[in-house]
Amino acid sequence: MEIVIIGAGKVGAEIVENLVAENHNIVVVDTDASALKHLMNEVDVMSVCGNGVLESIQTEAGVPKCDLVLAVTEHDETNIICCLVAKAIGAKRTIARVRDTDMSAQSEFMSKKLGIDLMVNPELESAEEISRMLRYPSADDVDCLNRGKIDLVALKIGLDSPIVGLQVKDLLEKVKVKVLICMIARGREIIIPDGSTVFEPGDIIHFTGAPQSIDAFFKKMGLSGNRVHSMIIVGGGRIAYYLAKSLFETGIKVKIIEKDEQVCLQLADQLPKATIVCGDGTDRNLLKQEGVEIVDSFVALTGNDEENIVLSLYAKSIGVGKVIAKSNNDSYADMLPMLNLGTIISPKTVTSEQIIKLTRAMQAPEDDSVISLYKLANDRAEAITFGVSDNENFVGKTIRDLHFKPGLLLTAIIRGRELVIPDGGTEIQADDIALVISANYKFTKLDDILD
Amino acid sequence: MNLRISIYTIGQILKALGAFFILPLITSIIYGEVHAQMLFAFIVPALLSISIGSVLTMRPPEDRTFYAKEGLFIVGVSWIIISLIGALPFSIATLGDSNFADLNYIDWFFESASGFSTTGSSILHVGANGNQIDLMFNGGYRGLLLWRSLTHWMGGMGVLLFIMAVLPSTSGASGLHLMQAESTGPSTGKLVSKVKGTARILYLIYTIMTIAEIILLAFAAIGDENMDFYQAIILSLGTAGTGGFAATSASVGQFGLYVQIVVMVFMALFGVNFNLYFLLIIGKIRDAIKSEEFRFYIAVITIGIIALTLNVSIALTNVLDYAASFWTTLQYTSFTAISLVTSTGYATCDFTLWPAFSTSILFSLMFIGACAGSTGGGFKCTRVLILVKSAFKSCMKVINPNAVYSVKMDGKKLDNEIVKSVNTYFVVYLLIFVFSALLVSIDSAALGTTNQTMTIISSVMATLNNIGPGLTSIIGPSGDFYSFSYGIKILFSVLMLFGRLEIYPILMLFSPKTYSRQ
Repeated sequence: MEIVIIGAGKVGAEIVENLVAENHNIVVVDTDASALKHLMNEVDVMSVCGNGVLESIQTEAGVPKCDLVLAVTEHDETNIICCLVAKAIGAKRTIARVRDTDMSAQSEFMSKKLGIDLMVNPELESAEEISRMLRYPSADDVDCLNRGKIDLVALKIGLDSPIVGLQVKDLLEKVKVKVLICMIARGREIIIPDGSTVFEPGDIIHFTGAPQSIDAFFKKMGLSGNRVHSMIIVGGGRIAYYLAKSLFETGIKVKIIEKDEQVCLQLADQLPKATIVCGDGTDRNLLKQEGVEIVDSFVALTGNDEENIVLSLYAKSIGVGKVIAKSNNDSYADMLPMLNLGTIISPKTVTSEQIIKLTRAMQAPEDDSVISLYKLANDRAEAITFGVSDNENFVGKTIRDLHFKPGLLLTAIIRGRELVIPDGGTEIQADDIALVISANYKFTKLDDILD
Repeated sequence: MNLRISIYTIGQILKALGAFFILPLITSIIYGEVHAQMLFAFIVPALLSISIGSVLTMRPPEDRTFYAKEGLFIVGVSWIIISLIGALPFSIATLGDSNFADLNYIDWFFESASGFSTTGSSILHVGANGNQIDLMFNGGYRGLLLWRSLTHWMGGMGVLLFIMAVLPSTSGASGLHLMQAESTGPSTGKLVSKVKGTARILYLIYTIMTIAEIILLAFAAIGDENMDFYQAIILSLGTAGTGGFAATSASVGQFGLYVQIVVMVFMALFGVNFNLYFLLIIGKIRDAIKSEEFRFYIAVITIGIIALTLNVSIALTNVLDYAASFWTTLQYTSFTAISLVTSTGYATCDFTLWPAFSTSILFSLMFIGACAGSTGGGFKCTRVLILVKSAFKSCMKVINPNAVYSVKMDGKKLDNEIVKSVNTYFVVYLLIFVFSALLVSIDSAALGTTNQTMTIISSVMATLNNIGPGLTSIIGPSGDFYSFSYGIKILFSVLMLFGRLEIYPILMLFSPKTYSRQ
């Protein structure tokens, strides 16, 4: 695709690096020449230096003939105007990064009347990402496929894990839970397992199943499968607001600690179900008072990365089960894994990942059977959902009868509202949606997966 | 400096280089020159290049970091290796032929470096049996002569750029760094978002223009008995790369006015920044014509021609040929001016006989050179413009120290870094020039008895600016570079590569820091 990206900041740069690897033709627009130069030294893109809201600059960048414009500068208004201009001069689609709560609430109006096809809100995306992580506290990572219908859970196998040395089929017999192990990341290698694959220490296994089965699987593995029941959030920003709101639905008790009294009052007004505490979240006594030793999750969302990291180290040290810290600095995230302080979430990374996912979903596939495409395990594997509709190569056949190419796995079938984890005897019906995970191929058609 | 990826990339380039030897081989077959030795002359270098390349690419590097430094290093090293391999066909094919017995591998390396760098200086000289180039043309070496001219064509737009245009794309910004290191001018941008796409567009324009010239020249075969399809190809390859190798010693002078005009126009066209042709294609004609560099280039040519014509027609009234008519003089001066400013080096007359003022004009033209981003050599019009403009602003600052000035080009403010880099380039260029002139002057045996200083200076100018002939009779259009000692020939070969790659890629090979891990 021809893509124009306006804004070469952290989000823009991350999007560019990912999309270039997928062979798109990209032009980046920014007012900062040195940021562009830096980017040009790293990736094969073209740059235009100038103000992206200007029609002349957009024309120079090739917006009139492009397939997609991504406006990801710091400012909501700039992004919105960029998209309006782009639409007016002929861009096919536009995506804007908009963080204003009110504006993102009227996204339907924006897309229908103003032509901004999608808006991505960094805070909202971050909150959703956190709540996803909380769904399975023992998981190392959770990928949500097909609009949240399928959870793909990643779990790292420790040295002393009971399953080391077991074969996949033995494990499933032992735990007697219906989950499907669909992918194993072993070092740099991605393995699509069959029944006889043996687990090794250090493997990261990815599996899927119905939510209850995944819970049960964690329990059988001796890991706490218990869901989170209570949480302390330090810092009452927008992420905290969105997070608290989405957690109420799952019945988690939320306590927010915020310094600013005005903000506290506002939050108390907006979130009547939450306990809002006005005070310094870095005060150990206050934290103890508010019960940091008895909650099972702790989220540090202050505006200061370092503060968040120290807070989460403290929470880990006193034994809180699930600890999450916000950090916008990527290099911290790289330095941090060795500290074992739980999960780091970066709103900018979350935003760019979300935009990249949306961009991939916009790609016109060769065949309309492809519904969506996801990248897994640092882009080394991909998950594709296909609509089977009435393809006679598939409909009415059992998995056993179909001859798949090696190195891929039909992981799940969505049938109406039901999630089916297939085994050899599962028969494919018309209008099923199939999720395929593969390590080596790039598929564009459903028939490609057959040998 | 990431040596592993540099070596790996050089390996990939060498693997691709092997394919280029097919063209001269086919030519040899067409002209019935094929015998075992001629076959070996092209197959041995091809296999050598492919096998070295295969060895170097055996293990792909894990660390893929690639910056401007790696780009410069790869371009510098691969151009030297390409020139070394490119000399092999000459060496092997002429082995045992008594007409070429006085030439060895160093001479042929000079010839090959001269070819790839689009210089056009030659060590082929008048031997016992006549001029060696005519001996080649008539003696069954037409495939070899095609290879000689093909090196011009490949070197003009860039060997690596060609490989990038043809091979599947490399990831990351490595392509841009290679392209910037190989192409000419102070700043190189992309035409479209991918390097591969840019390389393809440039080579497409280049190829179409070359074919157009071949067709136009081939038409001349109707009335001109010296012209045939082979000559048309050789001349076009030499013009396109702004190199200057011809198939016979008589060069362009043996053909009629029509051929001379076609060659002259195409020399001027190949000296224009290729980005302008791209602007033409996408319909931005006004932007193309407005380009300051283009206008400067046209002005330099026009002023050069006028000054030369006036000087020559006034001073040389009693020389038979020039006295004949004003039009003959104009024909000579305009061809020479364009040939030297674009650094091609074709000649229709012996301009070493012209008066001193003309020699100075020619010297200035040789220095200025063609546009950046063209196939031509020299210091480049853009650089001269930037240099003059920034010098002017600096002078203004002396008068009014608190004033703030910016150097503009095409109405846009120039990045300070570019201005600085042009100034630096000028200083480095001068240092190399002076130092080389010093070295050449040691070789007193080759410098003749008269006009020694001019021979020294113009020989360095002719090689460093990729022009070809110098301004005195020894190295002029009817002279050659054979008489210099081997040390100086190697110096000239390096200078030619210096000039074509614009100094830094070769210069950095001499720095020990390049090879350290930090």
